[in-house]
Amino acid sequence: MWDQILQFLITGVTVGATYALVALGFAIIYNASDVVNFAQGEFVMIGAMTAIALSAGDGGLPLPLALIGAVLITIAVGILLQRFAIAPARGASVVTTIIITIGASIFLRGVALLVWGKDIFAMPHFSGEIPLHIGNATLLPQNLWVMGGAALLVMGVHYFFNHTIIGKAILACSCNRTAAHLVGINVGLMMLVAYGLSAFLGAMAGILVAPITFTSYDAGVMLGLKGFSAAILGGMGNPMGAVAGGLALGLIESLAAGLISSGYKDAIGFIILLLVLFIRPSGMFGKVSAERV
Amino acid sequence: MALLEVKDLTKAFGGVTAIADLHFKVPENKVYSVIGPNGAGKTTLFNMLSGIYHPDEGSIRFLDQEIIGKEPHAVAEMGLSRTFQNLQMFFNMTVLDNVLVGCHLRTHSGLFSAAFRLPSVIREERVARQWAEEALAFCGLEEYSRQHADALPYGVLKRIEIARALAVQPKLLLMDEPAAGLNDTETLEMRSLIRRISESGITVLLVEHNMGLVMQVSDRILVLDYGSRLAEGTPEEIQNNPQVIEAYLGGEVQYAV
Amino acid sequence: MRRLAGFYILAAGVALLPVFFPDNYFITVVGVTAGIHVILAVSLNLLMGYAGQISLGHAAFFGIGAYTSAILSARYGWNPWLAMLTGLLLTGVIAYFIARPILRLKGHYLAMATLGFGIIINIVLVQNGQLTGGPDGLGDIPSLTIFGWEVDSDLHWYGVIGVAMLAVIWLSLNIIDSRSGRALRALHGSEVAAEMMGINTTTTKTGVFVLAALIASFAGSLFSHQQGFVSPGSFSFFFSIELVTMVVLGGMASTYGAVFGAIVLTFLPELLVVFEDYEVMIFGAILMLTMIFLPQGIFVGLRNLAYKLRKKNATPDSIAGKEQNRGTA
Repeated sequence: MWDQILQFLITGVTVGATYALVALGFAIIYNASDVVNFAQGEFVMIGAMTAIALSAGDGGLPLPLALIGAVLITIAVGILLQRFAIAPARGASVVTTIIITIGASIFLRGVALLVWGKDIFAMPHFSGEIPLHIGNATLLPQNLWVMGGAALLVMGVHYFFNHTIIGKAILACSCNRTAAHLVGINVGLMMLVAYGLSAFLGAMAGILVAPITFTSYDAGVMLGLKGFSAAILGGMGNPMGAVAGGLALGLIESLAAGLISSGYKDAIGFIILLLVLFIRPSGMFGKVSAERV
Repeated sequence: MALLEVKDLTKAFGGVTAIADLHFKVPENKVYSVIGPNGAGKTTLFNMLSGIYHPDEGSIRFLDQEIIGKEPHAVAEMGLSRTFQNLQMFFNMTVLDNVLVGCHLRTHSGLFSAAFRLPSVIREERVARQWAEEALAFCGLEEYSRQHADALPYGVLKRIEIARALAVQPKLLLMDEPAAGLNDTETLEMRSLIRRISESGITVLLVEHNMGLVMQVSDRILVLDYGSRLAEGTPEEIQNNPQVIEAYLGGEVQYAV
Repeated sequence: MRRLAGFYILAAGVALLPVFFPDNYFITVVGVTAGIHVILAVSLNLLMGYAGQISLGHAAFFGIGAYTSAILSARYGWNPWLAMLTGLLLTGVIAYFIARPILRLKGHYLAMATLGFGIIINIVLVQNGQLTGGPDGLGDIPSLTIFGWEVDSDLHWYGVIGVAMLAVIWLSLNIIDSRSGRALRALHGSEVAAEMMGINTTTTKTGVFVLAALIASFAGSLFSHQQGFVSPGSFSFFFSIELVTMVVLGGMASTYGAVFGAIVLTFLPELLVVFEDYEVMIFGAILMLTMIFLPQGIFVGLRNLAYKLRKKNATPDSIAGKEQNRGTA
């Protein structure tokens, strides 16, 4: 029994780490531009798919090079998204921006469908598939890659926002755009950086987890929704809350799948999310704001 | 008889006291003003009187009934209406529709009868429209009736808010800075509007920064300082109160009209 | 009557189309689907466009209606009308109980909660195979019978759905132009001000949520009996998004906008079939571009433009008297 639970925890943390990266991407874009980016899941898909495409076949690049290429391509997609879809619609309502990013996600999915078709693709594991044993639970080296990679990225993002000028400038834009502009911050550029960073995190999530979960043109949909749930769970706009939300959601789903029913694991995740929202409408770590009259 | 009676009212926001141990009585059919520097707690007071905030302590009795614990719509039902310092227009509607919303409590047709547009609904709509037009006319707004609220100047919007609040047929009208942002002519119009409202039998509770206006229209004035009562009395008493002059007016008041 | 002029034009169009194109696939087959979409979009527009409460889970109520009808009539042999009524009852109860906690939320939180609700219902449909047929769906759903007249051809269905659709549009137009409708719009404009006018915003929100859900459930039951087959895919998250898109594409807070959006989005994929593999991509691009360049929606955007052009030759009165809803989104 305990071995089983340990196994669920390992799966949960691995999946949760992926959710955490997607949620972190959500939080960064939300903070920088007040937009909930429904195309976040597509970054994950594009990262994984381009990595596979670049490394595939005889003429393919070696894996590390392919990974770097995939990350760069995804970042470019993120920047283009900001520049040509989000920036022109500044000042639009919540619903309008939601539809724009949903449109973007459908568009990107359509492009992926056109390029790669409906097949499911696998990516080679980074360092073999010989499982490690902890008691009776098994752990693939790739699980460690996911957990370690996610941990490093989260720490990196934390450092970026708290200790670098660019990171602080992005935070300034999210606090007050006009004031940021007045003190000489290039707001437009900061937005591009935020979207690029968010796309980078999505691509990394996709690349790290693709060897375990496989990928296809529509793999981003559910991941995007889970990332959004995780970000909401942690309190929208709170990056470390989003990470905690992602890990919590991954663990809940994994335990629910193992102990209750695998068919209902997604439903249980969303039920918990609803309950959290009903009890604390601003998420676990969100600030409660009062309306000024 | 006091229409509104406030006792021992206290409200703090995260350790900062906005209103401390406040008490006052608003007599019926008078214009009662609350003045005080920015941050004195005037809007907080209004929000408690209208049920938007709930005080930490104290009591607010309106028509001998406790208001505290009631939701704003229930307070409105008792006969209290208000305008807002930051405009709270329904910008998605025409001026007439804005004021028609004010007639909500005076009309009764429900969703079902409205969906099938029963004859009773048509009759009620006609009557409500008349009421709304009367309220608009009272505030001198007939010409704007069919225009969209999002396309009108600030001064007009302020008066539409008043017309909307009057359409409720309140016994007590709370006016939060009606003259703020108005030019001199508009302020004069506002003064006569407040007088006409009072003459029509509605008690007015006014928060305002324009001292000239306050002194001219008020029957009694309450001076707030850091959420506490500094003084209360007739305009003459307030103007001659050394404490008020010292603490708030700073000794260099000009009663501009 | 001037107030309903647009409605009469629409009704005439619905009635005349099959006269000129009696056996046209686009009229009697796609047209029926469009009619169901119109019902759904109009109901969602009451909630989202007028009352300002976003819902990314509206397809769930459509699904509850459709599956209640399907299960009761196909598995248990109930009369389709009784099944439809039961569906409405069940939807009403569910909507009533989730409305309060869900509608306390705002903005993105509300979007997430409704989305989550929609996904949960969809998973329940997929997982309860012995009842719902699981992912493969449920077939052999009987058609409707109206006073002994069986609705058994495409053209018959066109008539039934057409009448139902016009009825829903008429109800929606009436509601918006009434005390209840103003309360909805007031809620959207400013919640505090609405409360101060004596509107109980909590019950008003609950009311419109339940109403929108009931209309969606009604559409679901019609869909079920018309198709004769239901599967969870028709009620997924994607369909909820499509419904939101219909409302927004036409223009929020305009009943005719919702009608327009629903019709366009139903026919668009049919037309895009020509492009085969490019279909998904083009659909996404159209969605993005419309929202970027015409954020008030195509219908409302074009109408406002027409008003502006006319304004040069007309008095403001004749313009504003038309309909009280410009782009409010």
